[in-house]
Amino acid sequence: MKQLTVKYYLALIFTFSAIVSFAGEVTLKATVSKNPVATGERVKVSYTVNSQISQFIPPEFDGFQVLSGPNQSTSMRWVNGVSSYQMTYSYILLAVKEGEYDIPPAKVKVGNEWLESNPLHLVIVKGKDVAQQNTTSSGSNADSKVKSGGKDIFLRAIPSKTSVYIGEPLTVTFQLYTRVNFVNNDLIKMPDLNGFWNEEIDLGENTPWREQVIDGKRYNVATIRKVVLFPQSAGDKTIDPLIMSFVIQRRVHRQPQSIFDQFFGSYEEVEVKVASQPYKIKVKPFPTQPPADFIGGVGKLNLSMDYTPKENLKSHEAITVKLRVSGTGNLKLLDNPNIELPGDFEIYEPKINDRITLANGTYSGYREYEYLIIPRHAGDFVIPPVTMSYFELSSKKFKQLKTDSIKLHIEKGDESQANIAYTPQKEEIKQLATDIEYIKNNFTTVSEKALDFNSALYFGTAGALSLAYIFLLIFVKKQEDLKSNTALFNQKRAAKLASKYLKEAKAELTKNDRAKFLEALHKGLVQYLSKKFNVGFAEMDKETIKQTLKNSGLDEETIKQTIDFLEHLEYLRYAPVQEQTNEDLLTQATDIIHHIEKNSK
Amino acid sequence: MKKHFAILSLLCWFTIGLFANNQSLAKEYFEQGNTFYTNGDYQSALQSYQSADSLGVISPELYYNLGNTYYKLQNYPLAIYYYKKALKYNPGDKSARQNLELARSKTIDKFEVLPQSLFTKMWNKLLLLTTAQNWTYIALGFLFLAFAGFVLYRFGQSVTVKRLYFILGISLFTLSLLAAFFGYENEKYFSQNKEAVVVAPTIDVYSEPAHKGSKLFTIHEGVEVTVQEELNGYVKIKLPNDKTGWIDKKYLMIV
Repeated sequence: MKQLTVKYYLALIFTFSAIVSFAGEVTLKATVSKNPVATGERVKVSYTVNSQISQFIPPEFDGFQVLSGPNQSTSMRWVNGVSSYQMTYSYILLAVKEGEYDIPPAKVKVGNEWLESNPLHLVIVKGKDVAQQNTTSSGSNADSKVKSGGKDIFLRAIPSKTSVYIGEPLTVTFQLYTRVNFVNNDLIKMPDLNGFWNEEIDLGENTPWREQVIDGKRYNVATIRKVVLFPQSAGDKTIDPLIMSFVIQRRVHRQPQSIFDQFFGSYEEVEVKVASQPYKIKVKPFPTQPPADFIGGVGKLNLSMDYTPKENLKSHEAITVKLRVSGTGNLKLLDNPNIELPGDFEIYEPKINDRITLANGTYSGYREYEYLIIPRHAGDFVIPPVTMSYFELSSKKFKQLKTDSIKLHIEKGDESQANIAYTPQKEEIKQLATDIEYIKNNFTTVSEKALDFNSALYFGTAGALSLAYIFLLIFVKKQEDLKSNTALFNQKRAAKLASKYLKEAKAELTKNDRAKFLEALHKGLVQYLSKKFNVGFAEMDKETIKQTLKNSGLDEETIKQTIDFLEHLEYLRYAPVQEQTNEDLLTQATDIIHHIEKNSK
Repeated sequence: MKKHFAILSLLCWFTIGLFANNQSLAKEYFEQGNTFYTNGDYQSALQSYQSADSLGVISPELYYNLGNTYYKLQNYPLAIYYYKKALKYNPGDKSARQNLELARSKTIDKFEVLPQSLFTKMWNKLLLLTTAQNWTYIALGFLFLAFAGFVLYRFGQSVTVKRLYFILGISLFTLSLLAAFFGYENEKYFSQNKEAVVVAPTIDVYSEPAHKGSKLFTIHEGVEVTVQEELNGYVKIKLPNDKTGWIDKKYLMIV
């Protein structure tokens, strides 16, 4: 009976504190589902706070074994236009040893202040024949409603590991547990996975439900999200809660109002907010300093290198070098490996080809770095081995991978290709040190005059040249005048000579005696030639005339014309042909004289 | 009388012979100095070069090598002096100009050189491309070419050809006049801007040609100045920043 009194007191206290909480103050309330409990029985201890909190420190549960918890649930309710928020951390405890236990207060941090819950006094009795009075559940109806949100439906985040190295993957599974029907659900907040590279595993459209019994209660369980996380930096990281809201149907404990109610019970729809509990993941730094060629790889990796084309390599023609990192690990998080090339090779940023799949909670496959390199000169070159270190998870040590070196024989290619778009930016020659230029070895001397402008020489020369030019002009002018005068004189003289020597022929022309005319013409012409070239008239036979004309330096044409004409005249004398008039012949003879006069010196 | 003539003629020959001799002797010293310099014995190189210099020949290469030697001996004011002297007789010497810049960077005083207009800069650069004497030759060369152009013009067969030669002649004649003008300006540049280098470690510059005037500023060795006036052993100098003042002439070495 005394025990019973204590229980009533406790109940009274809880009820009172519940009232206080409605007054708007922040309270932390501890409730227990059953008190006393028998050994082997389970009991649920809940800590409910009506405000957002930043930290929750649970007490030690002496005499009990924690079966699960803290299980976190949140609910937001509107009652008559007044909102109330509640967050509940609950534990399922197993009563282990009989006795009376004082459970110290739990602590929460609200803002900057710490708040303590009421302590709990729990009695564990032996066996099952303990009076099963459910004191607390009848304590407050409103209270039980809120709690049941956390009890009947909740989310759990289950990490595969809680302590990992940087780059070591872990999988977090978010599971929904429910034993009530819900008619609607809404995702309120996805967890921020700060500090992790995450990739979600596709679970497919339909989530299969399975059954699981927790605390003797049957739950429907579904996996709603599965995420693979690769920690990026060392330190304690938190997996934030996944928050969802559900509209659940709940049987109302009240007097049945109708026949249907008696049969099916009466239901109400309540919206509850459910959050998974946050998890701390400890990300450990690497046990040793990473080597210089560490590009972030963690797992179990391999490295290989290949290149194409293998044959007929020519300068200015591109070669593809493929560097492949394969294996399992954080393949997608690798930096570019460092590839060293001999001088005179151009290299471009690699193209990255990934064949990576997410399986068994990590990446596997390969990442290929495709480098385009262009040799600029012919010759034999060696691309040194590429090294890459990674952190091997199985041994927890850094391992170095090394490829073979590549030997390249480059032939001289088309030089015109040298100016294709990939012209490298020329670097200016960097001056390493400044020193004076070397001494000179040629010895020359100059006179002091080197500093003078020789104006006398310049203007003297200018004057002299001007004078020379003037003289030149005058001289040329005179010459030209003279030349034109001579030509005129020669013409006059030729006309004079022609009329002088051809006078007889002319006279004969009027008499119309052709034979005599021809003779006179021939004679006149030969006389002219004999006078002109100072040869006796008697000696002037055909051969002599030819020779004389040739010696006189006359041009061939004139000579031929003269000789032909003389021969023609002779022919005409004995031929009765009258194809040419006498006037024509006379004119021709006059022309010849003019010609000779003009051309002879 | 005859005797006098003989002496005179002998003296004459002697002078000519001496001059010719000096030339080859200077070359000998020069080459000797080069050998010392190559071996890193700058002190001996300096002595050889100085011997060559004392023979009264003018050799830009000798001045240049002297500048280098003083530079190596870390006597930067004299290095500057000789580089400037080398440039005076061979303005197109790029090595001397570069070494001069290096020597300047070793001196104490730094001056904010007044910015010259682009035109002035280009003009001076053109003027100092070569010596006045060379400008004379260039001008003469253009003159002869112009003359040839005019002659060709006179004998040109067609109007087009004649016109072409005339334009050519006129252009060449203009170039010749321009070159002559550069030569004239070049000569004026050196005769007006008497360049000098301060060789005393620290000297005060006064407002008057005596120590009694007020002290204007202090300059240090290696400063390049132009001499504007001379009076009673004092010279009026103009600094690179256009400031003027009087100092004792003995602190200066006029290029």
